[in-house]
Amino acid sequence: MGYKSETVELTVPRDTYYLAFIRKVTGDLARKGGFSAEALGQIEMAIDEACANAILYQCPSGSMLGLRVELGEEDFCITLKERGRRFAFEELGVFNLDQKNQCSEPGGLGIFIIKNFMDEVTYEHREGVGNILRMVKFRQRAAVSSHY
Amino acid sequence: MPDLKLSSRAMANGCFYLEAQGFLDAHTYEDMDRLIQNIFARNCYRLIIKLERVDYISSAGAGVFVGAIGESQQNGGNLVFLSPSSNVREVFDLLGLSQIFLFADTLEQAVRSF
Repeated sequence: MGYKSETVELTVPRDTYYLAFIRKVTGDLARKGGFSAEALGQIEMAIDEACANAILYQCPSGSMLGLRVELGEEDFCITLKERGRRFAFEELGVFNLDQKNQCSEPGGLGIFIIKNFMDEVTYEHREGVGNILRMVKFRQRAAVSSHY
Repeated sequence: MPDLKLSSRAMANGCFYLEAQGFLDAHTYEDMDRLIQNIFARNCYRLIIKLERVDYISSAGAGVFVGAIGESQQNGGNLVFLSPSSNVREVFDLLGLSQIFLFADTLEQAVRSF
C-alpha cells in the first residue's frame, strides 16, 4: 500500500485529564495511516482503556505513562509502559455476555474491550520497570480507507 | 480538551430528562454518576438519557449506566437511551448492554417506554 512507517512517542502525567489528548494523537496517526473509521474508533478506545486502567488501578501516584505509537506498513502498534504493579492480564476481561455483572473486577471491562478491539495484545511485567502492554491492529484485518 | 456537558430537567410526567454532550470517559464519568445519583435522591427513577451528541464512551462511562439501571429498576423505574450516537451504540453492543437497555428514537417514544 506504500504507507510510510512513522513512530510517535509520548510521555504524559498519570492523570485522566490526558485521556482525550492520547485518543486524539493515536486516532490522528491511525487516520494518517488510512485505517477506516471503525478501526480508528477501536484503536482509540483500546488505548483509552489501557491508559485509564493504568491511571486508576496500576500506576503509582506522581508517575508518568510512556506511549510509543508505531504506524507500520503492515500494522498499527501501541506500546504502553507504566511503573505499576503486576496485574492478572490473562484472567481479566473474560466476559460472558449471557451473565450480568461477571466482569466486575476493576479494569475488567476495559481489558475485555482491548482484547476484542485489537488483533494482538501482549502483556509483560518487568521487575524494576513495570507493566508493558503492546496492542497491535493489523492492516490486512482492518478495513482500510481508500481516500488517503 | 473537550469535556462533558450535562443538562437535565424534570418532565411533567414524572420522568427526568438528561442530555449529555462530549466525552464520557474515565475523566468525566463521575460527573454523570453524580447527576444521576442527585436525581435518584429526588425519588425520580425514570430517566430519559439523550446520548446523540456523545462522541465517545468508555467502559467507565458505560459502567455508570450499568450501576444506575439496577437502582432504577429496584425502585420501579428504568433508563431509556434516546438516540445514542453510533459510537455509543457500538460500545453498548460490544458489552452486551443493548440487550438490557431500552432505546428510543424520539422523546415521545421514550416516555411511552416506561
